[in-house]
Amino acid sequence: MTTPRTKANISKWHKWMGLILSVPLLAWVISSAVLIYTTFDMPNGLAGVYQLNPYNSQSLPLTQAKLQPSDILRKLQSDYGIKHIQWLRLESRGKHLWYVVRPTPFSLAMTFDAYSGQRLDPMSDELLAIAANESLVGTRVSGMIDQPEFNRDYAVDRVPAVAVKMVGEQPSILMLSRDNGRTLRRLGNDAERFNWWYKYFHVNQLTDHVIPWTTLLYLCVLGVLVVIVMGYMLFWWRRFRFVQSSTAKQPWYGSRNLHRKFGILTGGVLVVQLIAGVYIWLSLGPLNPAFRGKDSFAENWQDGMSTQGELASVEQVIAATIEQLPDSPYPLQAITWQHLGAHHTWSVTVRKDELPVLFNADTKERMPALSSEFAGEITRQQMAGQPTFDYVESKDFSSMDLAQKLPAYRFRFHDAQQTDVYVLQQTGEIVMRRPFFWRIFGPFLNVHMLAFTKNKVFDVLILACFQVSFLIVILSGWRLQFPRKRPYEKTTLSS
Amino acid sequence: MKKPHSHHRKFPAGDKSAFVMGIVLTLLALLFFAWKMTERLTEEVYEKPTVVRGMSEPPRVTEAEIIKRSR
Repeated sequence: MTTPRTKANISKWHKWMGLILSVPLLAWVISSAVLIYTTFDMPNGLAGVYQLNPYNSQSLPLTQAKLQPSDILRKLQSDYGIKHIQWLRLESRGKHLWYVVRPTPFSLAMTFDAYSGQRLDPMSDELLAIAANESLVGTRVSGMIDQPEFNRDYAVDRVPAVAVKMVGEQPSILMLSRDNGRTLRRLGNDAERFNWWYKYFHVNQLTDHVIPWTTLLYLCVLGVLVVIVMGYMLFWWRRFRFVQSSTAKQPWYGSRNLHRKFGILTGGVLVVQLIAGVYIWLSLGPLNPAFRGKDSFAENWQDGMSTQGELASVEQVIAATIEQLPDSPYPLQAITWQHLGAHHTWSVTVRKDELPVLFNADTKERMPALSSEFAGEITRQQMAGQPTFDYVESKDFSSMDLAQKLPAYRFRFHDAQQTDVYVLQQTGEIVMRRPFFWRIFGPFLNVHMLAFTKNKVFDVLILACFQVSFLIVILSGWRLQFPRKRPYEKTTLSS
Repeated sequence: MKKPHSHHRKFPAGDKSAFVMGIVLTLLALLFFAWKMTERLTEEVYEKPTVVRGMSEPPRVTEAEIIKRSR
């Protein structure tokens, strides 16, 4: 039997904890409304829709490179002791020609000047501005700040990167890596607003220190759960309490009724939403590397191209392929030398906003695309432990580099996490690793957002009803915490 | 002091309905989660590979498609 003293204490705790925790709760409720509003009619979600520059701003033939790909291979071996690389690319950026090397599928790239062989990475702000200016149609750099960030393609925790503010036809923020100016993310105004509200108000990550802020966030969630449980206990104990007529005359009595009714009506649903939210942030915050499939990286990857071999020169590649390429008013934009399985390949980029054209370097013939078996086998080499796999389906999948959906294969690997891997059919590039952990994310998000149906308007209306209820509970709680003087006292005093 | 009558020993007006509705809504949310998760796990377990290993689907990017895209 709970003593009156315990009940009084719980009432006190409910009031004070509720008052303190109403601040983060209010932030979560308001930010969720902003997040829903921001993403409601975005045509391609947070990824946005962008028009990439098809050609380099300068008409710069790749043949002007003074160094040949074999020179870069020798340099990698002699200066850096690198024996294998994944690929080597020559590309034009503004008035520059750069060789970009990806030593392994998980490492940062290395960038070399194609005239002098000088190593350019980590790239200066000036070079990154050139890369940014070449990215989007009709859009130029207005400023940049250093902002290292998580990226699922790289083994490092934080990729050295800058946030570049772009102005013009496609105002946006480009997150460019400092290794070769690759676009890691594009943020339109809406996506930027979403991130701001999500980071600061919805998951309360005020700095990049995930663990301390997550601890604080989870303590707040735990506190709110305790407040809700205490609220239900108080309701149950007081369910038969006789209300004095003098109490009913109090100005806060209406708030008490609202607080009690809306509290017991929506408190349980809030508990379910909060618990789902805890799982969601666990996935997107502290456990993000595992969630994004980084645990499946084959750290012992030995596939790829030896730096001891010789590669066809730029002139040789162009001479062998030019007749088979579509007509273009501009010089070729890039050539990539790569080994795919047993094949030596060249990928020739005619337009930077389109897939490169793949050639078998031995036969000098075009390879329309990779078969699923072949693509799966290449992918297997990049999976930890080289597990067996099943082919699942063929579907279009978003490529960040080309800002569009492209045909991809989906494989399921028989590793510990049963990782699904999406691989571009044309290039064999892995565009996403999705472990089981990630694949069950959907139900948690659905229940967190109360998205009961597939009708967006209906779902948002349901969520809005609950949001309003939570606001009523918070506001009425504040009203109860700070009651005004009783009217009858005023009357007594005045008489 | 006047002793409360039996009708005072009832839930205040509307509280009982709100309480029952709150429980029903919570159970519905839990049920919805269970349903979605079951659906997802069923997909995972039973609707696995449509094509078994060793069988290959031809790539959908054809040479003609590449030329079309490039123009």
